[in-house]
Amino acid sequence: MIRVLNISHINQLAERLGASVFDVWHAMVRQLTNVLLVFRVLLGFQWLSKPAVVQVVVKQIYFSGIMNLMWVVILAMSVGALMVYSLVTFARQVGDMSWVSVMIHSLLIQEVAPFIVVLLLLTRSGVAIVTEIGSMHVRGEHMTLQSVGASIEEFLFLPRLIAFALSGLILTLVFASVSVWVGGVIVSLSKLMPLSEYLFQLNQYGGLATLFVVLIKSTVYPMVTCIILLDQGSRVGIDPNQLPVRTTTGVYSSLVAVFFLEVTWIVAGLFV
Amino acid sequence: MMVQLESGVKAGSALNTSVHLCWRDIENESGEIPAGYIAQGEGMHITLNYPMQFAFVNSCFPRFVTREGAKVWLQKQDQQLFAGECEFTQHVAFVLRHKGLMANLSMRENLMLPFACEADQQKVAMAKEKLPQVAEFLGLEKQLERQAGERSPYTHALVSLGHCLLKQASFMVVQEVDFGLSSERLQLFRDKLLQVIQGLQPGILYLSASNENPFGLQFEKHWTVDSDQTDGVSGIW
Repeated sequence: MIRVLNISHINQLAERLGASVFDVWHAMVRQLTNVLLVFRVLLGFQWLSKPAVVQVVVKQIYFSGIMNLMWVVILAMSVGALMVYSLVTFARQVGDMSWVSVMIHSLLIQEVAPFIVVLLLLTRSGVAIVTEIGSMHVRGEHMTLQSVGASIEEFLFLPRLIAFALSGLILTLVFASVSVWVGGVIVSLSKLMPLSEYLFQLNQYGGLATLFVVLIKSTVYPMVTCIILLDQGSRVGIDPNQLPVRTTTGVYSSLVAVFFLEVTWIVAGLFV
Repeated sequence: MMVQLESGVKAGSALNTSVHLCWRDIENESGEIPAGYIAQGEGMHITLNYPMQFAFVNSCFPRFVTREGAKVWLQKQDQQLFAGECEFTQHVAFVLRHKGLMANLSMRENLMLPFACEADQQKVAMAKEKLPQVAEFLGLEKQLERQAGERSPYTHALVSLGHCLLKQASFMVVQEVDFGLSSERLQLFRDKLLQVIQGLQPGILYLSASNENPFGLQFEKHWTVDSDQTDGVSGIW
């Protein structure tokens, strides 16, 4: 009896595991299809000649970028002050001030800045994306759009993807600049390190390599989260009860995807 | 095979009947709509259940447009315009039940929606010029600047009719638009629909779950599509 129960339990587990693998596979195929369709529209450049699409792009950039700016600056000031102060204190204890430059570039600018910006985009604009696209599906508005010949990819997906990528890039650059400068001012005011030395140390490391990493992470991470959120919004269907479910799933999946990309980036860095 | 109005007026005389709206067999879980066509000016009423109505309508909006995969297309002499292509939706207007407008746009933007993704600015300018006249005809002239929000099926239907007028459609696919309208509004919408039909003389494909003649239109072609499911009643899906 115990043996039979064990086998049925194992079978159930295997079924669940198999179903999960299929779910993940289907989700990846759907999202890849979305990416291909959106990039086809993006690279066709016809959207630039359509004022309605350009208007949606501008509105989305305003919503995701400009309206997030204040929060990014506030967070950058706090994080910059705390991190730079801690790093300089640590470097003084170790007795090697070159650590300051290495840590600021490799930790604050390359890791923390893109990650916090993507978190902000995800929690504010990302949730709005899922609920907006989901509500449109509940009301059947995706069908209204299709019935008048408007492409979902062009009218709904592309503007949000462009807004996420551009906002991600600009907000990350703002975050990095503000946090580094505020950190410098704080350590010089607290007499831990003169500002001139801080700036000198900062120039010892990084350069184009840091810029390249920031450029990639600050555009790719938001784009990946946006694709996942758009997919979740589209899956709401006609059931309004799916709105909170899809929103939560979208946010969790995006976080997992960002962590996965971060790990991939680190692992790839070990081999390059 | 022309659309015959209740009053005895025949729409569709002296029409360019070389334009046809054609479709292949369209299947879903509950049955199969056989292949068919209508010419401009002709009318056809297909009685079929709600899921199959949507199977047909969804075939008109494929995500990937391929010559081989297209189930619905417009035959213009030697030229074929496939569903999903811009030119197809320029000629075919859809009046779908409660799916005529978008809540977060103003009524003006909603009426101009077919031109939202139009690259040809000359067409957009012409539509903008016609818009006040169309809005007046529909009785929406005082609501143009208001945000649409949640609206009745009647307003959805009116806006769809507005799309049809603004783009001067050659065909109309009408899906159970009479469902859920009060008798007063049904009469109002019927009058407007008949005027549009007489003015534009489009080919009409009417999809509904009921065998009754919608809006007093008597179509010469009438198909009934049997379904395997019992939930053929409108609204139960």
